[in-house]
Amino acid sequence: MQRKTQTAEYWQKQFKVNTKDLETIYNQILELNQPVSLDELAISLVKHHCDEEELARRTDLQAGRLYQPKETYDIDETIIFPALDFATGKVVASRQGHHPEYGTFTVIAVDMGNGGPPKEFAAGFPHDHLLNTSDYSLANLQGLASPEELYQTYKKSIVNAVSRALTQSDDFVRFQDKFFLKDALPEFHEGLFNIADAAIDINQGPLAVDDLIEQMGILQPGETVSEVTRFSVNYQLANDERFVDVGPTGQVLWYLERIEPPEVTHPPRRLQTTYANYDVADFDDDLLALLSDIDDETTHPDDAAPADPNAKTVTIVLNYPHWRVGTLPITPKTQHLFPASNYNPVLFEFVDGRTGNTFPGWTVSDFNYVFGLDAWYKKNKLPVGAYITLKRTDNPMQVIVDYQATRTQRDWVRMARVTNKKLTFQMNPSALNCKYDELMMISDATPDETEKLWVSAEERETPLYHLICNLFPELSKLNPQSTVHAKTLYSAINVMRRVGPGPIFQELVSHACFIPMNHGYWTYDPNLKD
Amino acid sequence: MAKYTKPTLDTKFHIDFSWWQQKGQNLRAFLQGHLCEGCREEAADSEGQTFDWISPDTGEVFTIDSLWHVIHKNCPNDPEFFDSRVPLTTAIFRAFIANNNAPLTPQELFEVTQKKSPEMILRTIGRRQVYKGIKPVR
Repeated sequence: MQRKTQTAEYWQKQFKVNTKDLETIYNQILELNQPVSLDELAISLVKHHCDEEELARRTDLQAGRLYQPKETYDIDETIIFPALDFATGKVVASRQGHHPEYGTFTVIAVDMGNGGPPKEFAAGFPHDHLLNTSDYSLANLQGLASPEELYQTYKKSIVNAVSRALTQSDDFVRFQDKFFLKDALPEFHEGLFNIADAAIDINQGPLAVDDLIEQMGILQPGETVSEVTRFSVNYQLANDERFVDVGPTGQVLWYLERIEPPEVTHPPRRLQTTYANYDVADFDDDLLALLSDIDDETTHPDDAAPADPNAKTVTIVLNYPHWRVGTLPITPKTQHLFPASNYNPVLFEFVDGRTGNTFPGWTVSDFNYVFGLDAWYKKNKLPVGAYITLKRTDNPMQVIVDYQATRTQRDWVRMARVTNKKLTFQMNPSALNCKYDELMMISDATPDETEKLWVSAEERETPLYHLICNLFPELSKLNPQSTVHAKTLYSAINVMRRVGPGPIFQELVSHACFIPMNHGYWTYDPNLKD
Repeated sequence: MAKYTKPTLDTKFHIDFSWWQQKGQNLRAFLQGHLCEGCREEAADSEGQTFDWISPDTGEVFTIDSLWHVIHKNCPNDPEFFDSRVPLTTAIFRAFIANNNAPLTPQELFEVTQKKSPEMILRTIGRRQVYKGIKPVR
């Protein structure tokens, strides 16, 4: 019989960290007298549970009979269900069952001990069934996975359970992925953290924890920074609202909350979307290709352009909301270029590909964007639809940002303009100095009015379908065939509302008034409007 | 609530009949849409009847509408059951009917339905939102 600690059922559903487990962890940290990572604590706990089951194995084997449909079972009898990850249950009732092919048999109701209603199983059923022919010998006790292997297989569930229990306990303190004992934390004078504040201020940039410890004068002459001191200072800084960690994974860099741009912790409204639902099964090949082609952080990663972690250069198309607030999307395609952390936004440097000048950039992984490009967009007069090139450098904390420059020329572009509180589009000549995606290109003649219209559309929660119906005629009049490309529709809708391509495409395929043409182009027939 | 584990191409799926019971949805009404022309008379005779369906892999029993059995026995032989015009989600549900709800991976569902791709099938049924009770096997 398979041991329960060898099953997904145990680690993903039954595993709970109890008081005895917390004592084990407490003693482990106490013995080591230094912060211990969540990984190490969790693996130790998995090993502890496996060892306990080893001891209890014989008792488990005597718990009950293995379930087979051909057998009969008595009320109150305990049964082990091999096909349900060796869950056990007690028979609480039985009745006669009926099947059109097999006739009558017994149906037993089994309380699975999980608080749910009893499950019903076939019994006295001698017909062909997988479980009637399987061999349930004890041979499958061989080849047990090690605690480390079990941990790797069920890591997410185990880590969540251990992390939750330790965080809820008053005995432990946490900084990033390490835990330590609250009672063992050294105490520091409050004034030392005023020194840390001033040190960062004077530095005009973030400082590593070891540098701060030195400036705070915590160490005795000749003393080196211990793990406990480093953890304790980090813990105190993390719990002091003046300080924020802005370092990438594996590096703690302390900065001041008061000089951190608000967009780093509060996503601009322009980037917030309330539309997320779409079903790729409803899309034809053209729409699927476009969904992947459009660089939008709200598209599900499975549906976006695939990641290439080795790509040193990535080119993306700037959309209206990102153009407006000076950001770029983090998608599977761009993610690997930016330094990131599981715990905090990361401060890094953009390097201007034209001039070599550097300016601050922020990776905001929680909301999938990088911030800090507003002035750069304005300085280079980049339009919506511009191709933006991102390049990796040898320094992981620097990312080159560039555009594809051309000689300044006058092109006909889609010009958005608010007229009588309505968003309209016209083709107007405009001076441009870069390469761009013609289908996405939009200029905004009345940005202040557009902003008001956007706020109004958001507050009124105008349904997406109505927005598309209103905008479609504006866009189709710009084209002699009266067609609109799905990408252009996406770009134009995003002048008024933040919507990913998926929900827009879902509206296109869900209403008869939108008629697909070839190669991603659509027409609109208002007579067919729902 | 059960923890969500992201399904893969190797994850087995089935129709969870308890989902239909919990949601209070009418399985018979939904099954009507899968009847072939030849079975309409037999289907009418099954009105109001149920039977004890036995899971082919766990032995669990669910009392469900007899229309399931009528369709399972007859309709998969109809050439239109997996016709190219049948939408993907419908074809996936029919694959489970044809297989008497024995668990199937997205790859196996693709082999039965010959629609789109295994990856597309996974994306369709592997989301948190459950479509017509089709869920990963526990």
